[in-house]
Amino acid sequence: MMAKAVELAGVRVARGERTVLAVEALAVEQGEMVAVVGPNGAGKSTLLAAIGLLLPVAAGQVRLFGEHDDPLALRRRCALVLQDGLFLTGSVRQNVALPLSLRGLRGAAAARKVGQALELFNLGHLAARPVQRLSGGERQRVNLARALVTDPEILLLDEPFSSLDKSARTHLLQELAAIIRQRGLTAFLVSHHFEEAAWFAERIVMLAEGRIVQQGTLAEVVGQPLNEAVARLVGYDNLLACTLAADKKTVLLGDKLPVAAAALPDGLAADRRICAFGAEAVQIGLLPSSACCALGEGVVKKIVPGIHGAIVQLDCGGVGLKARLSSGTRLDEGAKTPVWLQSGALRWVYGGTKGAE
Amino acid sequence: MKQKLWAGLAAICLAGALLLAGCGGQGAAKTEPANKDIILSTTTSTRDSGLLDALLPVFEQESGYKVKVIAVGTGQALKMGEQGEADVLLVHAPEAEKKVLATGAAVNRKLVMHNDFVFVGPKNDPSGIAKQPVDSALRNIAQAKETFVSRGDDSGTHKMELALWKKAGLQPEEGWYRSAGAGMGQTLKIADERQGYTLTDRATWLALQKNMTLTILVEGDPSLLNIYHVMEVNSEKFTKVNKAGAQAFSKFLLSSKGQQMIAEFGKDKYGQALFFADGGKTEADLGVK
Amino acid sequence: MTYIGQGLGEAVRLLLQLDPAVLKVAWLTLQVSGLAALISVVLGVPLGCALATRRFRGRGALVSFVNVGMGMPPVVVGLLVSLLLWRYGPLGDWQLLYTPWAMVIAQVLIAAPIVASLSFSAIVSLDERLPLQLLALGASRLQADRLLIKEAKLGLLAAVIAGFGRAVSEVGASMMVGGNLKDETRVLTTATVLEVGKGNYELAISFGLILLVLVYLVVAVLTVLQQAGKRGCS
Repeated sequence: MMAKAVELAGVRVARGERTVLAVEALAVEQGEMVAVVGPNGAGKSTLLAAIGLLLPVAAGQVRLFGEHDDPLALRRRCALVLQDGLFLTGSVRQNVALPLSLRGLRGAAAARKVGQALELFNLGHLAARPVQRLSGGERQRVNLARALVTDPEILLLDEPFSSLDKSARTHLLQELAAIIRQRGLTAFLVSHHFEEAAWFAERIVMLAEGRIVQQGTLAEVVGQPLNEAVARLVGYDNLLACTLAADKKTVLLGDKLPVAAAALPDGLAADRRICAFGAEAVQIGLLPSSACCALGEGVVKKIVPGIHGAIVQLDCGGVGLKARLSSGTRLDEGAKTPVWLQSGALRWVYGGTKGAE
Repeated sequence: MKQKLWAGLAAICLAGALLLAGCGGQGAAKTEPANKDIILSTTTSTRDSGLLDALLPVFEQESGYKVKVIAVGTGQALKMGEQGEADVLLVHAPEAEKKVLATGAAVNRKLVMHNDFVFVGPKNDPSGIAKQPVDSALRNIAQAKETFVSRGDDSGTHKMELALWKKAGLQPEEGWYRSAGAGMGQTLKIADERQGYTLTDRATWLALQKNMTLTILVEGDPSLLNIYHVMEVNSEKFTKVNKAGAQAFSKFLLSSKGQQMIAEFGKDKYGQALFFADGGKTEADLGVK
Repeated sequence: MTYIGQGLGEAVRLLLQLDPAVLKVAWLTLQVSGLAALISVVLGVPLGCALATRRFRGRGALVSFVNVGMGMPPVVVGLLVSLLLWRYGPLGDWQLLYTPWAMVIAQVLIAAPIVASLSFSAIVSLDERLPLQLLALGASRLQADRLLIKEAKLGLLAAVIAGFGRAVSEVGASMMVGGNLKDETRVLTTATVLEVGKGNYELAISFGLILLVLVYLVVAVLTVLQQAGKRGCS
């Protein structure tokens, strides 16, 4: 049985008086790819730093490959890639060679590894250039080359592509994911963008205020978000508290809009009182496309354009909703329009901490 | 290339450290006394006269001692004696010296030499003090309100000057009386700048007169005598005192050789001696109470 | 004022003739202040580095202490050192008073806080995540420190220059603990004060001029080193 690549037990990281990270248990197998998602200040970077043995823990233990005795040696089996690569004054080659020279590897053997790493990211022609004079995208490539030159077993990526434009980001992410799979590395990706994280990883860890609020596969996290924070992170546009009407057959969305209880999945229960649905689930106009419930009439408050169609903010019977407007349909602010809901697209937000411990 | 510069810098510093370390053992002498160092505490004007620069090499060569001349204000010089931080004192403030003697901090007070103070002023002498007795000279200056520059630094010279004003029954006022807070040489320069009067010891005057437009106006009064005594710090009270060294230095000053050197000092440079050698005499012999 | 003209003339004459008394004073100045600057750097740079990169209990107090040291009037330092080294003071038996060593001690106490504080600034002005990044690249704490020092070389050399400048300009403390003894503890600054007091302005100006030249030469050498670092080759 192979030792788990990363194990955290009862880990607590404090900054002054505040606890910034509290992870009771986290175990990651070798070769797994994990995405860490959460709002700003959730402790994502701290988690990565803790895994990489880069900061002292106030309590608990971090084990890598089942060991914890020699932090320096274990640290040297990891590589951390930050959002903006921090380099020392010098050329690309010198910076990529640095991790090797820190481990005592110099000369021809080191030069060979440096050359390979540079080739991996198409940096051969930039080898002699001072790092200061590279573009953002080139710098991140050098950052990645530097991280991989020592053949690390654990790769920690802290929003590595945030400062790049979309096409560069997508491109590099795909390259990187391929390399990681090919080498069987254990990788952690911290990202702000849920779609990126979802694409990259098999397992998603959701952090909020220093704690893991949910972890699981993409399906689990999206299908059964454990609380509002997760639901928001995952990208649900509409989150509404629901109550049972007096006749016990109708559920009031947002406590106001009546919907037949039978149309909802799983029905209303004590731990399922918040429902979440995306903007695609809300249809406006005269002819709904598929099985829908009628919600009544809504007033258009604001239209926010986008490439997939505009997001329309509506007021429907006193409840704020977001709907997706297919491109081609024209609507003006203040217009009145019928609103329909695809009840099949509803998801319940579960209370409790299922999947987090 | 850069490494060579660093190596060079390091070498310089190392050399410096080594040289400093070797700074102690210079000059062989005939006899090597047990404790070579003598701390002589004296006044700035004594040092500035240059007398010690002439006397000390001879003394050091003969005796094997090394004299550290700490030249400070009279007050500090005497205080060092009172604290046992010096071995021997050479100062010229008889009243204050007697007080130190009375506390037992110093012993063997012996008259060594004297020189005198003179009043100097502008050649045209607006207050008309030339050749006057000290009292009336000061009175003239005060009445005419002519510029008078004082050392104002609590030195022996300054104390002498204050005593003379007191004796004349005068209180100098702000405005024409300027307190320099400086050494003798600088005070003279200031007086020269402002064409005022000042009190100076003859030695400093002789050293600087060629650059001055001022001239000596009053001299020779017995109250203007500047008397130097040597005192050994009491080794019974302060065990760390170099008793043998202090005694040797005092003896040298009063020896016929030392006295002769004192009497000759300055003749070749200024045409007249800066000091009068008084070894063996007492203050009464000089006409001072 | 004719003094300045005469003074400059006298100064040039003494320098060109390599007057031995003047040379001796200049050499002693270089030895004493050079050594004091070296010790200040050896003490101050690692201290500044540690304060910048490590978190430990009492760090805040130590930072305040260094800042106080920077603002400490040198004459107070001179007084303190005198009190320690007086015959009947706690370290009197070492017989260091009125020797060049006492001057080195006083100058170190004055210059080291400045070097420490400027080193601290130099390291702190690097990206604050750089220490983390270096550790993440596999550096041990010691390796990371060395790399940070190398990266902050420009600022650190400025600290060294400041330290030397402070040490060599010291007058009051040097006078108090050194005694301004001819050939032993008389350095350019104390010699200048001496000659001014005697009214020998020309000689004082020449000492002052030589001091300027000396400081300029040392600073020039250090600046060359500093600028060599800028080209990024090593």
